[in-house]
This record gives sequence, structure tokens and C-alpha cells, in this order.
Amino acid sequence: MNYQKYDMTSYNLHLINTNKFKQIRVSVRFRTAIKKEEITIRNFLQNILINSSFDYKTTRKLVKQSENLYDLKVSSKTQRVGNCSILSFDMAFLNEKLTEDGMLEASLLFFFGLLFKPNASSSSFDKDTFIKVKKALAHNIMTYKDNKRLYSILMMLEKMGDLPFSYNSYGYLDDLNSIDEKTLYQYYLNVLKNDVVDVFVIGEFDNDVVKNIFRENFLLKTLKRNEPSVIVKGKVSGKKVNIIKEQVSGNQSNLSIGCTLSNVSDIERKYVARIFNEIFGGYNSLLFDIVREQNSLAYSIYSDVHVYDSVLIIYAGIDAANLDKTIKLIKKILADMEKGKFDSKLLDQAKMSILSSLDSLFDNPYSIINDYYAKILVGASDIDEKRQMYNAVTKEDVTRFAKKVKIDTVFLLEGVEEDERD
Amino acid sequence: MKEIKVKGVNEVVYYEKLDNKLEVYLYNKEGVSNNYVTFTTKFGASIDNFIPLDKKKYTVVPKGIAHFLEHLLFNQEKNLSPFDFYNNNGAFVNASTNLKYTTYNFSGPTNLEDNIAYLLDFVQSPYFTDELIEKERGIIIQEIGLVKDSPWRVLYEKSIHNAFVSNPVRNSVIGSIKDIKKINKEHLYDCYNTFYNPENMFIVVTGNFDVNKIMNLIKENQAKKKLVQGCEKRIKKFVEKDCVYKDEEVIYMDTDISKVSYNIKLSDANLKGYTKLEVMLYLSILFAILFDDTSKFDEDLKEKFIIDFTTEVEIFNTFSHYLITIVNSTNKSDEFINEIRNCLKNMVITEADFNRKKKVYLSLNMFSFDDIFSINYEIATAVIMFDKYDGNINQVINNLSFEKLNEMIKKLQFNNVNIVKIAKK
Repeated sequence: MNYQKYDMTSYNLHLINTNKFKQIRVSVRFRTAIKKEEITIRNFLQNILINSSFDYKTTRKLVKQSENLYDLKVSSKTQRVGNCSILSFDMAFLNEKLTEDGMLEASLLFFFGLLFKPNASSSSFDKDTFIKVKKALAHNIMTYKDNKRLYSILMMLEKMGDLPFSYNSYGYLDDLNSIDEKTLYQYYLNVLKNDVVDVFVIGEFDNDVVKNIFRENFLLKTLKRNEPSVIVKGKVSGKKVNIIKEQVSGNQSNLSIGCTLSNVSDIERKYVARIFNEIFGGYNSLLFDIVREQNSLAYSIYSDVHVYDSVLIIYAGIDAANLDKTIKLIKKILADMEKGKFDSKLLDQAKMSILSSLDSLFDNPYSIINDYYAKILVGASDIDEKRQMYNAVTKEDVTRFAKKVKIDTVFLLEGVEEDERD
Repeated sequence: MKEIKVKGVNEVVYYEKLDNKLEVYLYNKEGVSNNYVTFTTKFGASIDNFIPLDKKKYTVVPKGIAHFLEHLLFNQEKNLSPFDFYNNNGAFVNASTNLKYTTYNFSGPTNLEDNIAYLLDFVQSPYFTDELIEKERGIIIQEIGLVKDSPWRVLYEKSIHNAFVSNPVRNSVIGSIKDIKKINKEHLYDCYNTFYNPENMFIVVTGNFDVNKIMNLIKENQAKKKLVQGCEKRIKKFVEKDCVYKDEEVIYMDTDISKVSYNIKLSDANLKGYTKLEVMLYLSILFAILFDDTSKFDEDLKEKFIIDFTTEVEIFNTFSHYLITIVNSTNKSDEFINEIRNCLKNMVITEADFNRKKKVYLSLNMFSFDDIFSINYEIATAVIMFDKYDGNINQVINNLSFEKLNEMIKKLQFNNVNIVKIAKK
């Protein structure tokens, strides 16, 4: 695999050459500092740009054309990493040596059309398209609560503090209702002007050919300045744990626990935290083994560590009656880890599991791109160094990290049976 | 070992039929780290009346038995359970049963040889005790509860059940509680001995490995075993009618939006000039043009707020008939059904549409080679549906013609229809 970076002034073009795949994948990533009040409008932009375009004014026409280009695939996504909001647009298409001459250029131009020639006038998006996309977004915002697990986690994070980790990635209904097709278009222009842009292309192609197509057609002209930093200053926990309960109809209760991480070092953030999380709340972990298998207190239980937010989340599906018992048990597991009271075999298993997954990163174009992006975003290391560093993590490192984990907020979404249930 | 050249993508799949008749398909992809292996028997929920291997009379077995067997095989007499074994070897193990087959699989980047050997061994070592049978009976009865609560699952099973009169494809895959209670040891061994023999099974390995080494490993593993040799499968024949079993059925369930399926049953008597693969391709292309997100139907119905999401169409094939299921969620099911009827009565398809869909199918075949799970699935599906994987799909697609599609359309009759609705309580 051969990697080359080209400074195109208003964006960086990263070309990754490999003959491993039949497809070529392109990912255009816009990066900015996260702002709560912009989450909704950014989601809106993410969706409206791939709904239709100036040349293909309905979704039907757009899909027909992508089929004509041998079913090229377009997708978009917003994600938050710590303090950064990353808006990406991806396209995958077959190498033209398998399909037809001219497909490389035709596919790239089609994709650029979505980004730079939207279905809009000079000052506003097409009204019909706007209304359609707004309806779909409203539906997502209103129905995410149906997923009780996600809802309980978000409620807990909101109680924990007004920091990026508590922002609802689906957006907010009030914000949605205040957006119109003109303000959305203004936001679109702002993103093109101010976001930091990286473009990745992976597959089998001639670098000069691809670079020239970009040079002539990828119409990003303005200069960028501010690079947003990723790390969010973590919350400092108080002495008392905040416990909140809310009732909802249903059989099961959803328990979400938020923990703060204090004074995390760079090595801990990159390597130790993940190993800790595997042992504590991963696939065959202490939480799973002790809380579920040995004590039958939870049907599902796991933990997730977010190192750029300095937060660790524990989730368990339990019976409300077992709340105190479950929390007590989780506290004990954490305390034992702080004392080093856990089987070293778990450390070996965690390493093996993580190292396995590192290898499979190179099996698909999407994760290869993510790997390169992580180098830019958070200074991630090469795979060989990663392997070395994960292997070097000791039991002492893990116990030292465990002492930095502090339970901060407990939220129970209590399932209560309605009287009419049959 | 035979080399199957896959047309259009410059790839090779290796194949061999072993002495014990087990079929082996191997695809090596340079540069990937993961491996995926599936070991499949062509025995699913649609076989329930047959002459067991060592017997002379037809036996009817309770429904749900293929799935029951799948559960049972995960219990081992001596060795580590499959879950523990594969977890220790850095791999994930799983299995599934449907109408046409039962498959056992694992994926993992390391220990490929041990993992393959274990897969062959655990599936080929039946251990059915009274205690284990009772244990699995309890677990499956609980699982039936979960399935009954899933509106889509109920919709799909009912669609096929009401379309067919005699063909056992109308069986539920998981069975009813009554069925599960009837299953006994003799049923289980009858099914296992008859259908879990190498002649009725195949293994597909996709990943990064030495093809010769792995083929030899599998050969040696099988040569060591004295497995029951298969013989001609004696399955009870039936004659399926052209008409449907039940025109219309409404089922009330807990669901946010009602769901509808409009199911068209086609006899293959009118389609003798085409291969099965051609029929599947032409029908898939036709119904994609008519109902998917490039269709006028989709655009119009979304504009009229009859549907919010694109309609899904599946083509299901059996020995003598095809079933086309047209499905969506909508609270305006009568309007939805009327629109389908109008669309079918006034079919408009252009050669441009047809050629565009050919590109989509060619593309699907090529993209699948970028993912070891997809290519494994393509090979296994071809073996199940057409008894072999020959690498010619690209050529078959290229040879499809608009004229032949139009000829086929003239022969199609859309009169035999059954409708199923899942309505809000």
C-alpha cells in the first residue's frame, strides 16, 4: 500500500494506492469545533446534499444516474470525536478496468456535483426537497426515544453535564423548526468556507490522473485557518454520586452510569483505556461474567470508554428491584480492579482481542481511510507501533487507570407495567 | 482440485468433490487478515416427509426440527463447547436455519486450520441425550415467543404459508410450541443421518490462506472418519397447485405502522424456455424497475403520502413455482394494493431501464469480491439454488436481452395472489 499526501491549498488530498480492491472509495471530510446549536443544521446539510442535486433534481433521477455509473454508492455521516464534529461524504465505485473507460472521471464528477452543485438557487435550497428532508429528520428526532437503551444513556449524560458528550447527535426539534431553506444554504456556504477539509481516495489508480481531476473540478477555493482541538477538558466529579430515576412503560429497566476519568495521560488515552475497557466491560469481561453470568442481575451489560471526553459509560438492562444490588456489585468490581484483584489472563485475552481487530482494519477500504484520518485527528500511530504499545501495557498500568475512574451519575429508566397490559 | 475461473473479475475459486462426496469451495484473497468458513447442509424447514436413510417407509417429522438440530449440535460430549473453543482461538461462531439449509460458520484471523477441523468435527459428532433434548426444547420454546412478537417475521412467514397449498416451504422455520413438544430422539436421528451426510453438504472457505494446505487438511479430516455414506434422497413428492391457499389474511399485533405483503404466485410451466437463473434475474430486474427507488410507483406513492419508505420485493423460488413478495409498511394498505394492481396492469418498462439494471447486477457481482463474507455468501447461495457455483454469472447477465424479457412478460399471469396484513391492535 502506497500513501501520498498532496497539499491542494484549500484541502489536503490523500491518495492511497492498493490493488487489493475492485472498488475505489472517496471520502470527503469536513471538520469543525462542535457547537450544540449547529448539530441540527449540520445533520440537515448532511442529508440534503445527497438527496438530489442541480443536475439530478429528484432522488429518483439521482439514483438512476448512480445505477448508470455501475451502481456507485453514495453515503454521508456526521460524527463527533471529542470537541470535533466531522461531516463526511463518501462514494464507492468499481475500478473502470472492470466496467467501462471513462468511469473514473464520470464517477468523480458526479460526486463533486453533489457537493458543489446542490439542488438550490444562488441563495436557498429547493423548497420541496427541503420539506422532505426536514420531515425525515423530525421523524428521527422524535423516535430515537423508542430505543430505550440509547435514550437512557443520553438522559444520563445530560444530567452529567453540559459538555459535548451530552449533546444529542440526532439534533433538537426546536432548532429544526427554526431552520429554513435560506439559513440552511448560508450554513452550507459557511461550511465550505471555514471547515478544515481532508479528502481520501483509496484503490488502484494513477495518482497524477486523479490529482488532475481534483485540481480541475473539486471547487473548494477558500483558505482555512483554525484547526479545532479534539480533547475536551473533562468534568471533575464531586464527592456525591448523582442518582436520578425516571419511569416509562415497559418490562425491563435501563441503567446508565456515567464515570469521569481524571488526569489521563496520552499513553493511557491511546492504549491503556481500551484495554481497561475490554477487561472491565467488553465481550467476555468482568461486568458480563460477574453481574450477568454469576449473579443473573442483568440480561445485557457492557461499558464504553470515550477518551477524548474523559468519560466512561456503563449500561445494563436490569430489573428495577435490583438497582442497589447492581450498583454495589459494579462498585466492587471497580474497586477490585483498583487493587489489582483480577486474573492476569484477562489482560492477555484483552490484548489478543484488540490485536486481532487491528489486523482486520486493512480488510476494507473504509477502515483503512479511518486509520489514516485518525493519524491526522488524534496523532494515532502506525499499526506496528500500536501493536507494540498494546503489548507493553502491564497489569500495573491497568490498576493505575482504574483509580482514575470515578462514578459520577446514575440514571435509571424504570420500566413500569401499564394496567391495561394483557 | 479444479479451478473455476470467475468471469469478468479475473478471479479463481478452487473446487473439489471429495471421495465421500463432500463439496469444497475455496477462495483466497491476498492481503486480507480475516477468514470466514461456512459448513452447510441442504436441509432446512421445507423438508418434513421423507424415507430415513436406513428405513423403508416415509416418515413425517414435526416442524421446526431442522432448527432444533442446529441448537442440539452445539452441545458436545467431550470437548470444549463451540463457543468456548472459538473464543479461545480468537474467532466468532454462529449458525442459522432457514427453509432451504442449515449452516454453521466461524470467522477469525488466526488458527484457521484448527478452526476448520473443529467445525467439521463438531457438526459431524451428533450427541443427542434425553437431557440435552429437553434443555434445548425449553430454550426454543422461549425463542418462539420472541419470533411471534416480530411483525416482519410473522409477515414473511405468513406470506409464504398462505401462498402454497402442498409444498412444505409453507412450514414455519422455528415451528409451533405444539410441534416442538412432539420432537423425539428418533426424529432427530432420522433427520441427522439422512441429511447430515457429506453428499448433502458443502464447505466454503474465504480468506487469506494456502489453498493446497487447506484442501489437504479438509481431505485428511474427512478421510479419517467413517461417515455414513449418502444415497439418493427420498423425499415425498407432492404436486403444487397454481392457486393460493388463502387469498387474504389480517393479523393484529403490536406495531407502530401496519405492514402489507402482496404476493404473486407464478407457475414455471410457462417459463420452460429459460434456465432457473435467467428467470430469477429477469423477474428481479422487472420488479426492481416497477417498484424500487428508481420507479414511478415509488415517486408517486411517496408524493401521495401512501408510503414513507421504498417498497421491498423478493423473488422466492421452489421446484414448480416462483413467489414474488411485494412488501411495505403503510396505514393505507387498500390504496397501496390498488396502486400495485394498476402498476402491474399498465407495466411500462424501457430498454434504457433494462440496460441500467444489467449494470447494477454486474456491479453487485464485482463488489462482492471485496468482502470475504459477501463472496462466501454468493458461492453458498449458488450451490443451494443451482447445485453448483460455476463463475459464469457475469456472462449470464451480459447475455440477458430486452427482447427475451418482453417475451417472458407476455407469458406471465398475475392472477394468483395472496395478501397478508399486519395491522395495529
